[in-house]
Amino acid sequence: MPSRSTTHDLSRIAIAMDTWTRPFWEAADRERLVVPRCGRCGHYRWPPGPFCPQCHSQETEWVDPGRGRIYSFTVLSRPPATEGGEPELSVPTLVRFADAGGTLLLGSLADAPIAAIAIDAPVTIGWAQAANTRVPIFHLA
Amino acid sequence: MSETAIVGVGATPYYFRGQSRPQTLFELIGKASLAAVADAGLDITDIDGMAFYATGFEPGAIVEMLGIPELNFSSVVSSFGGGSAGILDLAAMAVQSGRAKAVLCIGACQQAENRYGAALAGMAPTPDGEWRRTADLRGPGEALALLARRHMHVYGTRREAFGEVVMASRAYAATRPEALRRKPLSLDEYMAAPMLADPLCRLDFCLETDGALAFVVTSAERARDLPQKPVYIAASAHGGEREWGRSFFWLNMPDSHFTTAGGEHTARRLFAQAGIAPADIDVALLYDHFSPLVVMQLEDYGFCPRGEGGPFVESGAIRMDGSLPVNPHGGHLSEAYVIGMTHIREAVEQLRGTAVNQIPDARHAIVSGGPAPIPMSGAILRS
Ligand SMILES: [Zn+2]
Repeated sequence: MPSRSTTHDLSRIAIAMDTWTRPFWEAADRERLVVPRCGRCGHYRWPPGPFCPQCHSQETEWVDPGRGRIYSFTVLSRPPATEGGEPELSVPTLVRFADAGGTLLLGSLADAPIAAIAIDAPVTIGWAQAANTRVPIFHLA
Repeated sequence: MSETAIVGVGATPYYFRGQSRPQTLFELIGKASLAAVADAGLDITDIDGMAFYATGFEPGAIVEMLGIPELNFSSVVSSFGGGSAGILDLAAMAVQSGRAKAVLCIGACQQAENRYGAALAGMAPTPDGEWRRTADLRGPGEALALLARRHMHVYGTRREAFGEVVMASRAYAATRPEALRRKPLSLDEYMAAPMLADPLCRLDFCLETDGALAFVVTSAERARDLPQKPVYIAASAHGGEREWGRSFFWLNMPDSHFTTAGGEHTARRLFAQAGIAPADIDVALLYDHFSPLVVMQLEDYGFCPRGEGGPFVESGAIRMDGSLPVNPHGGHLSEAYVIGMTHIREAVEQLRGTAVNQIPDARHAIVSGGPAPIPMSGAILRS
């Protein structure tokens, strides 16, 4: 088994977007991570959608969520990318942003030593290229 | 409110994925439905209502296929396994309201082309779910692994607890002829199984199988004139609360719900409706698509305090001689997976007193739907 995580190939994934998720991906394409916050009451919601579930306002501010820490993760054994190669370890990870109302963002934890991955570990944001936008991935800080 | 009862049960044999061919899905449904009606001492023309969990079949085709003269009630529980036990809630409502006199409840699956294990990957991309794709989560088990790991982190739950759920199911299945995985399992063998979605190994994932089951629900009054011992629906519920939402499709549950199986709301409603407490339950049929979710449901339903599901199962509590036998038919882990329907069948057999692994004097059984998006569901049945 490999000792580090691998991010699966995102290059052929065309991200589906709608009115309410597009601002997230447009910022991502400029390598900026933003999350939606209610423009009236300040409540954070996820995923981005048409209403604040607290006050039902549709005003939305897109804000930097600050620093995140691992909330949970799993380690998936994926078949080798090339025939005869080693299996790859893919690590879907939920990162919690305490300063953004505890918003949990799901993404791939890239190139991390498997033994070092732990709940509460701080992460930094990196970027990978999908077919139609850049997408956030995580690195151990 | 007037009482209702399950008066008939029918099932096809259970098959490993794909092996039910060349029978069609509707053929499996027809066989289970006719068997259920016969078991109830009724004729298919007595059926005037239908309730099922949505898995790719339609009432109209079943009416045509079996020559059911008319339906006065027809409804479907939506969503992804969470509502499976909710078919009993729909049936009870239909009978209690007078809409229908005899409701046929159906659950069936044939996974040849459509594997539930990769259900997330097989769905058309939607804007609100794209983070699952960028994270590489392809199936419910992979997503629920995030809940299981968090439960281990917060409460110190051990893999030995998940292993015990699987080993207990194998021990039960060993004596059940219908079960597809009947070989006993040791802890060493469990620990040696390949990891699929750490902390879940291959054995923590349920079987992939085909089959169909059907149940007939009618009024308690009418049930007393029919051949089988009635199994009364003491409580039934389908619904859910905001903090659980779409569950593993959402993955933004607050701390209070992230390490649960989302069943607390259903549990509160069921016990209030039945007027009994968890200690009154003699046998629990808990939806076991993934073994950690059994540990978490034991907490949701109040069989042990929050966070103590691991030590509870490791103490032997869910075995035949334990304080709460769980899934004595072998469950989805070892008998067969037909989206929760096999659990309803086992509850009926336990309360009729005809189960293969019969719990002595079983009077109350609880059945849960799958920890999955709302609607969550469950039922308490009594003899
Ligand atoms: Zn608001």
